[in-house]
Amino acid sequence: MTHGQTPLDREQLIQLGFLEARSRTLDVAAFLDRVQRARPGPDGPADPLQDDRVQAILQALRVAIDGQPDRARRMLDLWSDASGEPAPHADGKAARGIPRQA
Amino acid sequence: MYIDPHVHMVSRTTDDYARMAVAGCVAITEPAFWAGFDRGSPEGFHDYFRQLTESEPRRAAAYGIRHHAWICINPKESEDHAFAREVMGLIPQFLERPNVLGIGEIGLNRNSRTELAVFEEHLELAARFDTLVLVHTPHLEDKRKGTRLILDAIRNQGRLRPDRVLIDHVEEHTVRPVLDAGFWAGMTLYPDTKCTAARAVDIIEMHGTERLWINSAGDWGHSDPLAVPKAAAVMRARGHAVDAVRRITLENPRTFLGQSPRFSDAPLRPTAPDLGR
Repeated sequence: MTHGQTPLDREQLIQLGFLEARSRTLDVAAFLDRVQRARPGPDGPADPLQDDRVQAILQALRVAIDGQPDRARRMLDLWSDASGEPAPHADGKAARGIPRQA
Repeated sequence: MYIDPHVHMVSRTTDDYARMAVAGCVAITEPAFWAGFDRGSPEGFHDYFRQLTESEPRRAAAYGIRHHAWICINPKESEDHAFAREVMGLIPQFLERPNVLGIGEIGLNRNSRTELAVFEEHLELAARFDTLVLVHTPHLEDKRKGTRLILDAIRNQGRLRPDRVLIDHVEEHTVRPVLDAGFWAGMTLYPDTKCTAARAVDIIEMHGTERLWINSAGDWGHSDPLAVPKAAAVMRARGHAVDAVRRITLENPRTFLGQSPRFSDAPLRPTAPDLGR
């Protein structure tokens, strides 16, 4: 197998993965609906779509439909801390999923 | 037959050992890690290192599984540099234990200066005692930056051969720099973070099977100690030959870990009375 190639053909891969991908795509849509119909939290923006985590999902969806390859890598890059130097101190133990806005 | 080269069995039940044995697990390696709360004293780590080197090998052996360990203070508990140094002072005595393969899982968590300094001191220990090294890369948004800092630190140290270092928890955005630098790369199969089985198989298809393994990193959080055999099934469903599955799940871990004379996946007779339950 040459790197980048798959043993299965496109039709076989779609057959194998379509229902799971359909379900996960629907989950993303339902998550956005759920967030939009909820009342705002005390510190969050009034517009639910302005939350930086929700914005990160919406930006990633643009990557998903841009027709270019390497979508998974590019989404992970989009959600990565772009700074280069070590942090002065550990900001808690848990990562958040996307970088905090400066 | 398979090897799970990264699983935290101190956090798992005996039933998990039984299930892993039935699924074909013949050997595991267990890196020292953060057990979900901060230990308050070096003595707490001493007890944990004894658990990894005395108790867990016995639990595993009952199910015919060879148990090996890695020793360190993990980055989540190394922000207090003086405390970390006290714990690191305990490490050399445990490197002599018969199931210890090396230093791990060291690395970075939030990419802080102190974490990096403690990581560099662990690298010095590994070089001094000529051990294998297992490296944890950070989670989520911190992974790409942390992986770069880790690769730079190992390069700058200059005394560790890349083929004796495994960089774990790689994903699509970090696997290439790790392999290109000559290191081994581990993919961790988690339900929500790190890699799913399907994405791990994608990475194998994109980057090949050389110097790559998969592990469950099963622990006290949302994780699955049977993730490796389940991923093997996904790999087969995706059309990969039995030989390729065997390379990823057995031969590659055996090749890397076998650089330590203490590693073995030779058959071990299980003695647990509940195996046929």
